[in-house]
Amino acid sequence: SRPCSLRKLELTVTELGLGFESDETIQLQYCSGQCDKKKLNYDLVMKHMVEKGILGRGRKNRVSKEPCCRPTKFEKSLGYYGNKTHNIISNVSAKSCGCV
Amino acid sequence: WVDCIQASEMCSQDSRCSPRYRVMRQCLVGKEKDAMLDNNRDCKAALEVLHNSSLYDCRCKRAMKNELQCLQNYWTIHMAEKDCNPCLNATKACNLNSLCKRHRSSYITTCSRSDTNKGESCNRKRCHKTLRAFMDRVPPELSQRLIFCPCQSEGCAERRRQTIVPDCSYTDKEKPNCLELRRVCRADALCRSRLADYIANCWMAPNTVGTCPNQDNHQACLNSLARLIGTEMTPNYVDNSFTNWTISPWCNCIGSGNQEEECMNFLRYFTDNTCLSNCRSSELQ
Amino acid sequence: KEYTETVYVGQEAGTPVLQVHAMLDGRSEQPHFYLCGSRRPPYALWFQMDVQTGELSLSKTLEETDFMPLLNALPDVYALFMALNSVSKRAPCSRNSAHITLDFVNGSMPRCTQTDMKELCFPHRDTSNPHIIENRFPGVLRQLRRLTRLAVCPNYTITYGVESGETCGHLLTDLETLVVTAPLDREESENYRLLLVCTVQTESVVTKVETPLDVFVDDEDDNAPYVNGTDTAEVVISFNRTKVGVTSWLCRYVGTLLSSESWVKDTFDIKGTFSERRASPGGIRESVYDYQLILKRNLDITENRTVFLDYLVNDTTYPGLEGTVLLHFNVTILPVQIRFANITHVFTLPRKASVYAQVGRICVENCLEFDGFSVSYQLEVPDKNISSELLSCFSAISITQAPDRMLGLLYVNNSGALSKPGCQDLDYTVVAQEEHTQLVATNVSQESQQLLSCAENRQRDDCEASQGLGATTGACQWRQGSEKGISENYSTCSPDLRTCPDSVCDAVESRDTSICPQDCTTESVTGGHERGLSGSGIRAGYGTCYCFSEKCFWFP
Ligand SMILES: [Ca+2]
Ligand SMILES: [Ca+2]
Ligand SMILES: [Ca+2]
Ligand SMILES: [Ca+2]
Repeated sequence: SRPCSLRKLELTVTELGLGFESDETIQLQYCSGQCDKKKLNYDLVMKHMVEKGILGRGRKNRVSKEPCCRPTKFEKSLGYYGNKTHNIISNVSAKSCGCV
Repeated sequence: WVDCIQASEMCSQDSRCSPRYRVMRQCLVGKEKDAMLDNNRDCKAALEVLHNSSLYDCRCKRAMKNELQCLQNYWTIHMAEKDCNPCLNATKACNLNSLCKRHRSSYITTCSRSDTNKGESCNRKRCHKTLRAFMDRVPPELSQRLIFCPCQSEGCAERRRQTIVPDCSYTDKEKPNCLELRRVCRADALCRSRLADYIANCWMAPNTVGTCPNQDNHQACLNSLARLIGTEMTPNYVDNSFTNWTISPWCNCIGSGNQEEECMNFLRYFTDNTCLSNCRSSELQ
Repeated sequence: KEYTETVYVGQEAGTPVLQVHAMLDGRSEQPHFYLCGSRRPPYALWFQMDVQTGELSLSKTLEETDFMPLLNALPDVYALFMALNSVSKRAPCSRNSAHITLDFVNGSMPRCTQTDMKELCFPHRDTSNPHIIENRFPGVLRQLRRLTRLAVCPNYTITYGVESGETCGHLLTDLETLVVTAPLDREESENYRLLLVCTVQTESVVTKVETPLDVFVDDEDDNAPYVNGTDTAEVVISFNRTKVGVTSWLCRYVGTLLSSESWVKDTFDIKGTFSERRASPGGIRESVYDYQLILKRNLDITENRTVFLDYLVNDTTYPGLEGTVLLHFNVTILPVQIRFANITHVFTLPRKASVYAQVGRICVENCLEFDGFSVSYQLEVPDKNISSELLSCFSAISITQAPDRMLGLLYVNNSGALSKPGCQDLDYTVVAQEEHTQLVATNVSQESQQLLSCAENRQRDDCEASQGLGATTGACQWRQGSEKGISENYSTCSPDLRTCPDSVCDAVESRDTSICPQDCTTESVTGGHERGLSGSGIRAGYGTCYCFSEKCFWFP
């Protein structure tokens, strides 16, 4: 599958699921894709630790064994009109992605 | 008005109307109707033609003969209308364009943020500046489509009235006298020239032929009206009426003394302007 | 003050173009008419103004070649300026000048048979309305017969008349001109709406052409100011000591406070606001000034006196003797007493209450009406010779000021002392006094707080099983939201549902943000929410709110 990159999706503000009500259509940019190429020794070590039980299991000891695809920058705040007022949502749409 | 049964009969006898009406009914069948109306060319064209037919203005009377059939005809076209909200579509077009989205978000952020420093509701100067940037930098196909979108409902007209965040950019604690507002505008080089531009492009003296100056150039008038947004003379829709809209700056003629006639004449550049009132029908639909 | 006419190619030198008129102040006045403007365009030389009569005529025969440079440069409308009563020929245009607009048409004057009747009677582009200042001497207001068309149809008889019942005989025509027959009074009528009727009589037919004309009467200060209703306002100043009651007067223009006493001058000011009203719908507009007594400084709460203020309003432009009006303000300043309505307040508090738990609120009599001064609350320190045990009991409770400085908030300061068996009945004396100076912040260094914030809990069970900062019963309390979407009634865990969350970061909560971050956070919030009105805290949100120290999150 494709490497980690910026994808686009058209949806309404209401469909964001944040509780904001507006039928305005926006373009949401998000990050998705594989991060295999960015695997480091660290990831292999963590995987080994967990499998051998060297790192205790359980909720408080969860470690990430793989780099994951996340936004490295967000677009500027998004303004929209809904429910009779204007509103702003920040940190909702990615501007660039990366494996961290 | 005619009832919708009569209207549909009239349509079926009209060679232009009848095939479009059939297409429209096709468009409204099935789950995909929203997408069809938004994207399908034939559906869009059909709706446009039907807008100008008597079907669009038809009504039904309660307990009339064939009430149900009448209502079905009514909703065939008005459901399509509801799904086709030109102002919402204009917003969508803006949001899908990165330049338009960025400038719109920027003025919404500035104009709806309260300015706690001065204890005022917002920073009007900065709001005007971001609005001017929106008007100057975003292509007019996008910015003007948003501001002058044609409305068929109060909700739509309210959204349109709110477009420029009027609480910050337009209204003030007190309504100034229009001549005082004009004086303030004339003291500012930018506002002064944009106002002169508006009057040159939009104002038709009474008893003159045509609707707009420069060979009925509506677009030039709309351009110069839009360029007044973000100045002291910022115009806006005065209410959410969609049948009989009025655009005016935030001022009135109370307290004009001997200059009342002059003040009223100035206000009429906006409120009683044949060029402006004819703009929507010819340019925007 | 606006004149419009059309000029054609081929019009000969000496032909009249238009006639201007000046309304006189008296019979002895003699108007003089000059074209004004220091930088006159070349075409201004084609015209001459008769100094005595005000008739504008051509000084040269207009040739087609004259028009060529004009038509290339500009549209076909040019303006000439003209001044009335001017002294020198080269004078710049004064405020008294009128404005003449001439349309140059690149063609010859239409012949009689080609001319529309309306054209023959009225200049078609002329939409200006005359303004006459009231009280002026009667005279000719406007030339109606078009001078340029005098020779076009020599066989026609053209006469003018006024057809309208509203002129009360003040405005008439003498067949060629519009005449004002008597001085006009703006206070009688501001506007005369006339219908001018032009009758064109040829050998065979009589044709009538009409056009409306509005004549405006401009105002002059010829009415003495007067007070509508009483000229005396009774003002009582008590709890609210920042500004004073309003009184309204119907009169006009500037005023002075008549008092030599410096205390009065330093304390009071009078502000007039101008507005325009119509006495009745469609009636004459009146200028109205409302006068308001303003306190310039906050009054001492012990101040107890009565003063009588006189305010003289002078209409400086009114020519008569009655140009002044005297207004009176009778001001009574009552002292404010700071006392508790109830001497004894009893608050019950669970022993398990956490630090910062709110015990209760106290307020002196009428405190919510106070403005212009503030009240401070302090706990009276007990005698030095009481036992050290009782002294440590004393530290259990503390008091703080609400930000508006009217309420006192009692809260738990030392939960350890509270749970001591010896500290059962805690008796405190609260001293309330007017606050003159800023309180020295008694920032007692807090004992290291072991307690966490209630707001960290995301679930009801965890919440109700936890102890938290500010919890009155010792345990945190859960609020279950009910509404969908972004709502003020959201789910969250709180130390005391009476005060948190309520969208207000009160005096106790603001001592430590962890007590109620929902009301006090200033950091960015993740999730669908609305900020509090003052910019801090959260007003409403979607789902459940939880916070780690100051950072708040929502999950749906
Ligand atoms: Ca008078
Ligand atoms: Ca008067
Ligand atoms: Ca006066
Ligand atoms: Ca609170």
